[in-house]
Amino acid sequence: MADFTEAIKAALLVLLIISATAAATAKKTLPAIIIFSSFSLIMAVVWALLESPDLAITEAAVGAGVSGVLFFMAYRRMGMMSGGKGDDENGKEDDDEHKG
Amino acid sequence: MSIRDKLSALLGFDIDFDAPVPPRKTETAAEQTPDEWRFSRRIMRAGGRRLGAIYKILGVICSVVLMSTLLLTVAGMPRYGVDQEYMDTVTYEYISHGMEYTGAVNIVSGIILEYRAFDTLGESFVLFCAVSCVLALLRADGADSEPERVEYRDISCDPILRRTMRAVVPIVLLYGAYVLLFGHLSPGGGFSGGAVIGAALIMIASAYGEDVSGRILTERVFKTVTTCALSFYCLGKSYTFYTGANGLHSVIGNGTPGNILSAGLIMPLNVAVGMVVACTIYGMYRMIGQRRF
Amino acid sequence: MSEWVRFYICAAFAAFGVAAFIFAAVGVCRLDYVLLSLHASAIADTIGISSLAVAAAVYFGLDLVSLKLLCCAGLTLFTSPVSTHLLAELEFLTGKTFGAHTRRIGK
Repeated sequence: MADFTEAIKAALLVLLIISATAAATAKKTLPAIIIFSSFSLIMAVVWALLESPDLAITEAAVGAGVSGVLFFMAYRRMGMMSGGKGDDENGKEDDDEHKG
Repeated sequence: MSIRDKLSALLGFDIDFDAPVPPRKTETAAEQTPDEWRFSRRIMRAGGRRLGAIYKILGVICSVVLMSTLLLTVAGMPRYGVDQEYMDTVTYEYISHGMEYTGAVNIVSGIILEYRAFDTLGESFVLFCAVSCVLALLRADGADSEPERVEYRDISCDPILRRTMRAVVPIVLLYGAYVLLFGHLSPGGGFSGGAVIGAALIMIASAYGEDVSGRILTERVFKTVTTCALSFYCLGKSYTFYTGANGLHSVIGNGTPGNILSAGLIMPLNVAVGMVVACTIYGMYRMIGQRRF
Repeated sequence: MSEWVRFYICAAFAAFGVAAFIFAAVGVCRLDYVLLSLHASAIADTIGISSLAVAAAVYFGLDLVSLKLLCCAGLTLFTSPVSTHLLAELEFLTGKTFGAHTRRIGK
């Protein structure tokens, strides 16, 4: 039973490294934000497996929830600030569909 | 009329599964270049191919050195758990005398708000400074030349969202208050509870729009709440420091471990820290999203 | 005797939940259009989380923990369709390829 827990911990740590590398080397910004949220989620599970529930609750609430929301708001702002074109795929590229 | 026609008449449009799907937009080679390569290309343009190669090699060496240092440090640390033979005097003191000295069942809350309360005050100050800087930098003054884009459809007009939030937001607020108030008895504390309450405030603001959330959640309210919370933390903890250092008797007792009203000042300090965190999260959401509080 | 029954019920629910998650993951990756992959992600949220919560509740038996788990699953069941609805509404109002995938009839 203990070996199974160790195996799951090792697999989660490998996933952590993979998701961190994927978030850093993503070509577009929007998938990078989503992968960053998944990194926080895996980190919360790792904290729970390392017997620290305080950190698990905080990481789940802040990383996977609030931080993702703030990143998306900033991403939307990125499309607006440079005069309508974001870095490679901006958040608001439609300015001709104003519906009431 | 067949079922499909009835459904189409109800919806107003018909999903045609045989329509050709537009091909995926293929990117040219120029658009595929990641940013870091572009930076090294500028270096190559400035100093030639050799400087570009040196820059890349130095980057790889720095990353490998940093990674190996961190990994070796972690490998040299003792294993976690109470039953390990390596435990220095500070850890032993925390674990064995923590509950009777602080009165908190949750040792982590006892450490961060009783033994190391000054560090937690510093962390709250960091949050306060962060939201103040965001407020100062991102505020949309009158002299801003960027045109305000009209929202094509505000998400708060949706009736389904409003009805659901009417049922969900009280539950989330209750859960946040529970995590905040029981910080010294079960896992949680100020930071987690504050994050949950901040998320509930974000839900209120995005579901009900400006007119409802602008009545209570204004900038003045948040500045008052943050300042009062930090001042209370300072004054309360200064009193405990003063009486503890001089050996005087303080009015704040420890109580019985297991009650809510126990563990001295830990519960009010949890509430103060939680308020700062919630105001920070909501303030950043408003400033980054709407550029005005 | 009842231990084995509980174990098998828990295992069945857990396997069903994991299978739902695998199907949903494959669906989200393979379906191109967002209105189609919303079906897959909604399956993961509702069926997957409910099955796994029931499995964990059956494993712990009649305890306060099971009630908390079922409450968490209930909250997710309540809010996941709303988020799916909001995504579909956003796609309907502002989607660029919405016209290529749908056909308007009548007026």
